Amino acid sequence: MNEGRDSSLGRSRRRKGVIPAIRRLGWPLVEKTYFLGTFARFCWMIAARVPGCLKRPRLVWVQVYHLGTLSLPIIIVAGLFIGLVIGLQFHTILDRYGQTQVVGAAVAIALFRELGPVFAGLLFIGCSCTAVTASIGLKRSSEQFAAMEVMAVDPLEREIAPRFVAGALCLPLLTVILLAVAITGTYAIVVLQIGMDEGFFWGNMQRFTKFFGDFTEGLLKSVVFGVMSSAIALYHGYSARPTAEGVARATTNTVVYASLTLLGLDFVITSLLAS
Amino acid sequence: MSDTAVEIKNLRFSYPSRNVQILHGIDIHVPRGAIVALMGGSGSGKTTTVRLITGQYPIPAGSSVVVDGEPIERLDLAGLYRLRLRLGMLFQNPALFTDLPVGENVAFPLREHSQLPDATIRDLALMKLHAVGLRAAAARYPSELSGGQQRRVALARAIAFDPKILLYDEPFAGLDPVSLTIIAKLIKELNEHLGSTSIIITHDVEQTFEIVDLVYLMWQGKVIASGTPAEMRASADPIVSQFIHGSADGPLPFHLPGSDYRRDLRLADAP
Ligand SMILES: Nc1ncnc2c1ncn2[C@@H]1O[C@H](COP(=O)(O)OP(=O)(O)O)[C@@H](O)[C@H]1O
Ligand SMILES: [Mg+2]
Repeated sequence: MNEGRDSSLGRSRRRKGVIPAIRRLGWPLVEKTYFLGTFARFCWMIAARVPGCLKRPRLVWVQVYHLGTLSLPIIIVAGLFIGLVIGLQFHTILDRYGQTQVVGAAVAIALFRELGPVFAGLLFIGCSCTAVTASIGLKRSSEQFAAMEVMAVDPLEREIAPRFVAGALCLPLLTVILLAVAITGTYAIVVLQIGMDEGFFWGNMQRFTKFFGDFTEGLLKSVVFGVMSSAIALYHGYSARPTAEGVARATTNTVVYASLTLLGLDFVITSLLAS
Repeated sequence: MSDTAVEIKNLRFSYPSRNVQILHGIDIHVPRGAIVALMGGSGSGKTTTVRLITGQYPIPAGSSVVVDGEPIERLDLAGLYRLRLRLGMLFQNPALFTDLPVGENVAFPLREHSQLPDATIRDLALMKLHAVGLRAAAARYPSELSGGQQRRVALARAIAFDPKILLYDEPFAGLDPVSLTIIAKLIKELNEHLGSTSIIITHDVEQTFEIVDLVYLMWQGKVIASGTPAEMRASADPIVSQFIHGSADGPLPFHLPGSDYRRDLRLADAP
């Protein structure tokens, strides 16, 4: 009962001394390790429930619809601008070497392998994953999951696993849409605006872009990103503290962790496939 | 079949997140077919007790909770889920599914656990909603209803599966006097028609005493009195009579125990 003596009601003071200093150093480490452990266990719990939720595809489709429509407008608009800007930049660069006839191919390869999956992934995290974290966090904090459990329904199977599967399905679909829109954007700027020959544009793109290699690498990335970002979003929502601040914090954490993991994984996959 | 629906023996409990003991060894006996009221000050552990009856937290060693003949502490998850099919619970906050319309909320347990055709489930859900007077709100979302209406929807959802044991956590909170009388009557009727057992957490002494068979009075994690409504009314115990009459003076403390008030205000003559 001595805490009340501090004039700041309920706020504990930072202790000075050697041992507390060491403790402060060690605690983040323990916390991060603990986080990895609980995250791994959470992923395992979802994975074990995926077969069960696949028996009810309707639940998955509903989530695909929700997550997809959340990100779709921004994916289309962003794809258009990315295509315009990349087309313009590549045209300027290739013009220096007198190689503008391959601009279509160069843009397509850059988009398929790298820009498409990464941009789509980051936008998906910002739009859909944050929504997943917030809604799961709120459902949990208002005891909706407890109510489900008391009705003998497993919330992990009924609510979490379908969102996970939906996220993993959605991102590749969104990536393909972003790619198609971006290529259209490049076409618009390079052919319609700058006046490059249409035959060269499409012909060289077809000749130099490989379906197996360029396109499949991007698709593989988007599948991995989809699985990773939905798992992180669901974990943070599910483990959010049941308060407004807790949910707000979980949403931020989703963006931070998922974006950084995405960029890290992007490098890992690229280097694995390059070797 | 035993004549006991719920038997709680020496239940001690503290939440995993907080190292404070909430329940200090409570004993509650609920006969089959009875309506039992769990009353007491807010924060005295009533909600915690019903959470433990539904097995939402593990029962600590040395305590025992037997529900419908099954000791909760010895059930595995599958067994617990089977037992829960026979339970219905109205949550205090009322925990409706915010992404489903009211009708689907009530239909939820039926959709999950029965193989009935869609049309039948819809009709059953409408009938349960009709019983709580909210059939017209079936297409609305929970956020479009008032607190008292949400509670009535939650009540309809809790009874959707015709459970054997019903747990109501403050079903009367936020209800106007007319709804309150109707809901109290509904609880009584359900108990008679379904042959179920009910545990009601409530603060409404008058309305509760009319429908219940037994009252347990809890205070700060302990059962401090129990008996039939008539026995409670006649009780000479100053605690019981203070609670029933809601008087400010008496042995029941209003403040959460803590440090000295004058010391908290840093008065000069603080001890
Ligand atoms: N999820 C929880 N985690 C930690 N402490 C809790 C939790 N829920 C309730 N408590 C604490 O347990 C005590 C009893 O709460 P509760 O059972 O809700 O009381 P009642 O329903 O009788 O008003 C309170 O002091 C409350 O602060
Ligand atoms: Mg309560």
